[in-house]
Amino acid sequence: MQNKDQKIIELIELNDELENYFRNTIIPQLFVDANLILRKFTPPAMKQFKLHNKDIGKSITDVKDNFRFPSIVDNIEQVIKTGELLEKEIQTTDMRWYQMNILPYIVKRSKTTNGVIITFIDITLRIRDLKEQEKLIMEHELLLDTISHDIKTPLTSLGLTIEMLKKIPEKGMEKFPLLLEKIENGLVKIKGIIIDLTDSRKSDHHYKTVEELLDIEQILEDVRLTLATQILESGAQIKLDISHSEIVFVRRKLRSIVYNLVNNSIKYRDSGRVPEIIIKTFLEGDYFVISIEDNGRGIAKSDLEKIFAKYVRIATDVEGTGVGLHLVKEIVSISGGKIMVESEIGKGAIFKIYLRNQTLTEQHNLKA
Amino acid sequence: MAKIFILEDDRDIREVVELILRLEDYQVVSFENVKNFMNRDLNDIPDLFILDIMLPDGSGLEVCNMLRIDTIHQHIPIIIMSAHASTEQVSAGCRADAFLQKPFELTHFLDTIVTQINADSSLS
Repeated sequence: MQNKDQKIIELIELNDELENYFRNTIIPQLFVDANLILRKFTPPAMKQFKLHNKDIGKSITDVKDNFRFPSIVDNIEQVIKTGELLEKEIQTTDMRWYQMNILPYIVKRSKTTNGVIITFIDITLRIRDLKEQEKLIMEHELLLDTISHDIKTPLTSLGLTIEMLKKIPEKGMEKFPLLLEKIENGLVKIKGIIIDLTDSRKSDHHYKTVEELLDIEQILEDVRLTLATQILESGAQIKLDISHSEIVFVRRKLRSIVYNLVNNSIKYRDSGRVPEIIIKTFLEGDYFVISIEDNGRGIAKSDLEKIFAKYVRIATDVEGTGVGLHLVKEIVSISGGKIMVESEIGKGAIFKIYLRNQTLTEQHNLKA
Repeated sequence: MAKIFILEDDRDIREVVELILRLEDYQVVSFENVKNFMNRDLNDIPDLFILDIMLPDGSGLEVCNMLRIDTIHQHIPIIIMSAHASTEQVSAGCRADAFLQKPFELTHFLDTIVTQINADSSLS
């Protein structure tokens, strides 16, 4: 008797454990017996398939419409009959994807299948990711194909034209202008393709930029390290006057602004004096201002407008590409800021960068 | 003087190919799209067709197939030139006599033309 009571207590405990397990699982699961009676299901199954406690004890055929895919009863019957696990991806009529596993519930002693346990794993997101991946691969292929086709066409005319130009001495000069025009057209087409490609990439946000709260002193330290060689060689003295240091901006962009301006101050130094660069940061109205002042050779009034243009070089005795200040101007303008420059020949220059002073939350609100 | 018809939408290729062929003493007539090609004087029969595949208003492969079923034109050699299609695609798309993959070189271009025109005249 004692022994029997003990067994019952153990069974109750075991049942409690199973109940708890069932209640707490996050995956929709159903237990259907060999007579197709719904015996148990997990809370996520209630939610996912709109099952209620009163459905327990009903035949699965009575609630089959809840599952929004027609063959579930056939699948269950198949597993009961064969005793073999069935796994398949299903799409319900509400367009969600599930990995459905129907496991036979085997009674050990008699080795018979006494029902099935059905598990549903939501793979809608995974399927969507795979589709997205497929789409990307296709776009990539298409892009490569377009590039190769569109570039091969101007390459054909360029190649033929160049070969013809080589023969010009034999054939006479009268066709020279036509052939030159073909070469020019070929180059313009190839350039256009490259520009189209790089611009469309930008607008697709393949290369996302993230704004974050930055400490300008850290950025200045990064720039100082990047320019360590130039600072050492020129003997440049850099003085800092930081009255405000926090700014929300894209790290590499802010670094690029400061780097280009400090680099210019060193590059365009006056050979007659020790280069001195004063970097100040402060708040002015709605702006966070970075002022970079040098005692370099300065810029003539007439050149002030030109310095931000792409590929424009004022001083040709110093190495450069004419892209630096253009880039600074682009970054600052796109972010909603402005850039001011004061300079006089022989007296150095002051560049003031006005960046919109905003907190991270303001930034998010703007985007939303 | 052998006569060549060219169907090519890219003006630069068309003009430089015209120039090359004229300097080689061929007579050249070129068309920039399928419509103009179809509206040509049908009594004017060339010795060779050079067709691009990707055209603004159709495909050079379709034009090739039309020429192949037309009793007047079916024996005239056709050279297909394209940046897109590979030789397999072309042979599946139509029965052209030669295929030039862009970009091609001048000597290869001229060799192909000479071969096709001579093959035709030796047959007839």
